[in-house]
Amino acid sequence: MNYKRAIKQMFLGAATLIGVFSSSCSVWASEPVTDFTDSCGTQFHLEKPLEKIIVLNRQTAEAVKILGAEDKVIATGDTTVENNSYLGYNDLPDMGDTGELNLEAIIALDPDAVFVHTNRAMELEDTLTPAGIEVIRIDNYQPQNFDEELLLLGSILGKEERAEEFLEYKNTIEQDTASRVAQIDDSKRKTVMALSVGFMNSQGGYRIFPCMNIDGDMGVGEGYSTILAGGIDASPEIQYDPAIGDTTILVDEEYALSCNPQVITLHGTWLGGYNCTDEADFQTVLDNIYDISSISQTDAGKNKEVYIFHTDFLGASKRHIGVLQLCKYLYPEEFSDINTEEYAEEYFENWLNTEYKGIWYYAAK
Amino acid sequence: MQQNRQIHKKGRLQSMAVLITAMLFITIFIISIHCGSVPISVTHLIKQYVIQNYDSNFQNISYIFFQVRLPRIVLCSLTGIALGLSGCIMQNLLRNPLASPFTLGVSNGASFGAATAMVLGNLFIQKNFLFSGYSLVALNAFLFGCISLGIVCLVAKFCKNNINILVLTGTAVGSLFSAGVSILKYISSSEALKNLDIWLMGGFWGANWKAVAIIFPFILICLLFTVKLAWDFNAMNAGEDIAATLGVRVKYLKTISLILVTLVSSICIAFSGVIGFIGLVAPHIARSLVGVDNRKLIPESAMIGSIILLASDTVARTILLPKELPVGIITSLIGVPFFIYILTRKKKIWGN
Repeated sequence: MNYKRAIKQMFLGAATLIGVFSSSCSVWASEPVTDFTDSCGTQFHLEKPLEKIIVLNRQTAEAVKILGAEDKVIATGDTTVENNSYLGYNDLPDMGDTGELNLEAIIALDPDAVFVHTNRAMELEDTLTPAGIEVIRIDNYQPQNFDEELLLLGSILGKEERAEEFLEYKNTIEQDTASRVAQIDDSKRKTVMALSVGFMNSQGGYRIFPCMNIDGDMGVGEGYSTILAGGIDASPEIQYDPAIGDTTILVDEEYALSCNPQVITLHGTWLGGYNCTDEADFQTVLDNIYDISSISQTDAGKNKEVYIFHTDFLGASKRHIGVLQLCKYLYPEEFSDINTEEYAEEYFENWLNTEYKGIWYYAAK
Repeated sequence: MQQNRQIHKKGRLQSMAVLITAMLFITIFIISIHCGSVPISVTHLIKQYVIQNYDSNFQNISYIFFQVRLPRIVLCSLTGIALGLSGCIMQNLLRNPLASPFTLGVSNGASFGAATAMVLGNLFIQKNFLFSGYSLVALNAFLFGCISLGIVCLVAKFCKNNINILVLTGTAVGSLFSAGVSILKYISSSEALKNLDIWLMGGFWGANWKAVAIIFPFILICLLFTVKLAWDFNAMNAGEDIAATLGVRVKYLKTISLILVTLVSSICIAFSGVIGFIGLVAPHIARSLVGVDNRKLIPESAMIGSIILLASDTVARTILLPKELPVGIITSLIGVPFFIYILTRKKKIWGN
């Protein structure tokens, strides 16, 4: 009798273990979908789930890593190795920047599909589709469809639950930020202008990242972050036209001065980032900008309310953290309890499984 | 007697053309002062000084006027003068209607210099970006403009300063630096590439009094020198041998003029980017107005160059307010149709 009970208990225990194991696995894996529509509206009917992919969009490369599907990636492009070295793709072949892709190398690797931006390398389909390689267009950085695209990517790669988990984490932070921002009195809100740091540093001119687009929808990521952080668009006349695609608009210096922003944010990919260790570079650039431009004449310049952000920190999957830092800069009292570094550390360690380091933002103050 | 009268009449008409051009330049200068994102008029400024507290926002307006708009307009005028003047001298020296300040590859050399600063500055020396920005771009552009000229002069010296060799070497050196720019574009990041493309289209968005102070003495020296030697250039038009018999030091004149005008062009490129077409078209327009006498042609070319560039820049910064277009686009849009009109109307401009 005892023998039978022991067997029964063992069986129940094994069943429980299998159940727990399978449910924990379901967090990471689900059945990949083979029928879907990408962000350009192209419909796909795959014969089998994707196993070998080439990612020619570095934001998608980071999203794939978040989803835990990096083992499917066989090559990258779009400066992923240079700008996103922390993703662990450095030993994979680099197919080149989106404007200069090595098509022969892509075909030779025989991937099931390549992932590429919705508005770049538009000729890829002509060459790759006849070779049996699917060209899936997805951005993974536009604020208006980031969630939708991550879910799509998750479903294609069989990581839908992981995608939902990440979105829950991200959206919780974003909702908390939004509710805090909503409580800020209108009289306290500051006008913000988002500019290209590279152009200003090299030519003294003003190139604005628009906050909104011509349809009144979300503008360019760097600019729209102003709105998310509770700032007021200092240059509402400057709007993004998705049909043109240029994310910055060159404006007259007089106009920039007449806008007189209370805060200026400077954005670029060449200053700071994961491998940056020395803050002195930021200060050198800021000093140069103060010297060659009229920034010092604006309220932002006079009060040293000038902040440099690495583009990646306010865009794509790190936007929720970058926006928090911008909130701290704009409204230090209201966000005094927020430690952005902790959020960044959590993101890198929990979602990318890598150490957090680098300098991603800098204040003139 | 009648022939003398006709010559005098023609001379008077040409002098009047110079006068009208000068008045046109002043008019466009005043119009430029009034145009911009922020409405400022001279009367507004005068009222502020006469009536105290006329405008509470005057400090800001004053800064925009005196530190942003005025240096830009002055820099633009000086650059136009330099390009028009240089184009005229180059067409004279090379006896080629297609010659311009950039014929000897200066613009390509300067473009390569600027591209090196923007692309490699970002790639390799960002940790020591002490010379970051404007100064590095301007310095490199000037340096490589001079290197380009140096190579051309060196090759030409070996070939006994043959004009054809000089022009062909300039074209070859220009192509070499152009290939260098293409390589830099190829390896650059998208951000650096965008900056470089805008620089190559030309513009005055970094204009300030410092740039004016650097450019002004060079242009003044060049202008005085060329005007002083205008008669010698006239003699050169009759051929080098004839000029030599008339007492012109041909070799000295050629060498020093080429170096001077190319240096001036190089400095201008350093601060404004590549603004093509002005140096080519301004002398032709001037020639159609005042003839081929360099005593009138040189100042007329300088003024015409300044007028075209100033008008183009005013359009570039106001046509899509508050957006700004690179001025190189406008110079071509305005200049090319006008140039074709002049060419078809005056069939015998060159060598008239």
